[in-house]
Amino acid sequence: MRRFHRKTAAALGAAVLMLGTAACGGGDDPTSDDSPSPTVSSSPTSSPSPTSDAWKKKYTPAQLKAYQDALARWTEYEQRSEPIWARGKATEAAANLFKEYFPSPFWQNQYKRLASYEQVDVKVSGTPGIYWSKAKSVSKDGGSVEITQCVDNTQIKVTQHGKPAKPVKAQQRPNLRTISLSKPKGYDWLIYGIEDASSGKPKPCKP
Amino acid sequence: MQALRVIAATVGLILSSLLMQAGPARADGGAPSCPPGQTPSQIPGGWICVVVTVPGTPGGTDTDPGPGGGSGSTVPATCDDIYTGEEVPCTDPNAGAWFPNAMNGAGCNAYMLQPQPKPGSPLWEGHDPSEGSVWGCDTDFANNGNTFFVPNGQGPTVVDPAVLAQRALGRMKLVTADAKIAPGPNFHTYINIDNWLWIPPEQWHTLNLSVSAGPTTVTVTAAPVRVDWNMGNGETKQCADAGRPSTPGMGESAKTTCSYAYTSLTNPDGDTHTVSAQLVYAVTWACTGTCLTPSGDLGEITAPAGQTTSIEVRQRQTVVTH
Repeated sequence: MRRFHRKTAAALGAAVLMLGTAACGGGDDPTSDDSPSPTVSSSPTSSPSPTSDAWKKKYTPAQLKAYQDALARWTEYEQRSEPIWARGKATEAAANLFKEYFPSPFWQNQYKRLASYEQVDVKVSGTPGIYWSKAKSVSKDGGSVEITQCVDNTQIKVTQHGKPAKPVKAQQRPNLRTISLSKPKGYDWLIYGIEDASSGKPKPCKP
Repeated sequence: MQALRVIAATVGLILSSLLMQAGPARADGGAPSCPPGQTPSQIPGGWICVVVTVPGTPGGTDTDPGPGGGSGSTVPATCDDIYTGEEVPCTDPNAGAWFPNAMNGAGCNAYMLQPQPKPGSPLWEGHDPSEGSVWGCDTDFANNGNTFFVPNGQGPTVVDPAVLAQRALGRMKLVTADAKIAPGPNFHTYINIDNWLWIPPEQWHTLNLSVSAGPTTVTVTAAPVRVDWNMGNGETKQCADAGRPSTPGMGESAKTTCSYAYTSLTNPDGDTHTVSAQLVYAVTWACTGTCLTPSGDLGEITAPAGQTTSIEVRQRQTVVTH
């Protein structure tokens, strides 16, 4: 990973963040309805479901199996990447991990984001609590899956220069996030998209 | 004119970014004050301060918004850094093809996704893979239209560098290693005695070969990583280097990095084994010019064996005296 120009990468990552913020279109939405405070502290290793399993009826057993596999792969990534974000160092090991889970150029993007965090001494530890997960879509052959999760971002601890980051108001409520995965021929499940509270208008959800 | 369009788009992007950032900060009232040169940004878990960078221009490309979807066609003559606008090698992680309509019109430098998502993925936007390909911005991913479908003929008309790399590898003349062993064919060894193994030192070297197709050039590099020895008795030995040649007059204390001891005989009068060596290369490639992806890895490739040698192994005789 030495070939990445650290300064350039960090600058790019910072710009990414800037654009990401801009894309929020308001970040916190003070007019949103208040949702109950998270009371469920779910481990990301669990696979909580929405209160109703009605969504499963639209899928075949094979599609549901694909969903479970994709969800397991995503969960595995969150667990394995957590120490990397917590350490906040753009290392070769981090790049290698991103390569395992993302296609190009997204693994590079993740690396650049990490480099930008390193530049401003940001460390992100923990993973969101997960209230429930469900399939937003599963392709006919089960090769592509979109997962919707209702998450508790308050379980993520962010520090900058060793001090806790100011919480984002909208993130104090449960929010939806969507993860897109696909399993190209010859590959394991790869992550093609993550859309969370920071990458668009927050979408509150009910635990 | 092109430059003006690009500058206008970039200024617009900067202004819109700054204005939109001011929005959440005011509405929330929770955005932190940041040191000069930094700006608040929210990520899952809280607000952080990030370095403010002024994007440059997406120069070096002849942009022409495409007719369909959220993409635009572009045929880059060179690769440019998306933020500084300076020409950079296409292997630079910031280099790519500029798609003016991506990211909801903000534009982005994008690469074709490698690997492509499976057919049927929503990322294909309902298209069949035969109709085109899915691209992704190198700025961030999965946010509001930064992956998009590009119809055939509307993306950069370049060859997949991975395909070129395979072609280059096919043309590369890998070294067929000549096996050497001490003692050589004119003498014999005994069981449980270390026998030196080596290949001529000049055979251990890195190979490079470049192949071009249009504006794309791929250089394949094959670096030797080990020698796989076939000892002729069904066993193999791996050595991490070429070994050290054995020469007459070497003292008993001489050391080698690669040796092998036969431990048994099938014929009590002695066995003769044919010994061969194969160089194993780690093969990587780098792309210059117009590149869909900057670099890649072809894994390990084993070269064919060269000249073989032989060794006779005998049982050490015990002399009993009374």
